[in-house]
Amino acid sequence: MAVNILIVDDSLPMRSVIIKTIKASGFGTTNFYQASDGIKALEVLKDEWMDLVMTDYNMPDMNGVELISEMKKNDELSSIPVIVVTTEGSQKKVQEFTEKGATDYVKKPFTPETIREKLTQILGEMQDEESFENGDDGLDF
Amino acid sequence: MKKALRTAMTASISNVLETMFFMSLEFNDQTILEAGGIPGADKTISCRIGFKGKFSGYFILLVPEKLLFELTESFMGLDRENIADEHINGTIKEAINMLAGSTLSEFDDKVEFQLSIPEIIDIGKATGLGKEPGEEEIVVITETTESCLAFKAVINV
Repeated sequence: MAVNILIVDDSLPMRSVIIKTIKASGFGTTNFYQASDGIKALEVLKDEWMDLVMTDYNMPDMNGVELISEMKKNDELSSIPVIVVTTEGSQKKVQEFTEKGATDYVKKPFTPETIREKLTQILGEMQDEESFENGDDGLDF
Repeated sequence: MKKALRTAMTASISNVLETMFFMSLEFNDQTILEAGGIPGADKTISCRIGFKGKFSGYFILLVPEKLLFELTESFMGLDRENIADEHINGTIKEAINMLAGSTLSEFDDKVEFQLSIPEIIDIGKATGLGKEPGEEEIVVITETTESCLAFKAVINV
């Protein structure tokens, strides 16, 4: 089953690179959506369900952490996992991402292997939860 | 501090250009732009990003246009004929963003630095920056198979 991933970054090349890297990682069938800042990302999220949001931190108008804060205020959006993709690598910044509600972060530069590992950890776990909720718990009485 | 920052700049160039741009590179011992061949005969694109934190200043990346097209092809996976100005400008901005972040993390990951939004600047301005009283500059010149680029830090002291 295809997953929907929203890529949020004010850099067009970087959005293309993230998409290219996810495809190169062999993760799985993915529908990609794009936004150039947090405000536009929220507009996309109003109309389309996302399985994952991957956002840059440093963007004009609304940065990545502000986007996460807005998502957490919304009942429908608060459960969507968010990965921050960023050059910001200080321990304090990583702590800030986590405290604001980021599920994980990826530091630039990144390899396809790193991206695949992160996506599998997050979306792989989601797929397992969905199977359980649908009654497919693997037990056969 | 200058030596430690130069070491961080060198490490980040290797890390960023090899990982994201798939480039093989060598480092030139020259520490002065002109002696290292920058700018050369071809048009050079330059980009600046500021930083603030434990100390402040800015980084500048200077790339010959022909090399920047090659970097954009590798980075975005586009064929040359499909590359537009917004792609090459976006590529150099993203390159300096990654180089700056990687350098500052490599220098000291316990200290928080803030980066500004990258901006394209005039080559004359780029080569002239770092000469004011109260400024120190560090230049790292990197050679690829056919060209070279320069990564420069200007620190406010």
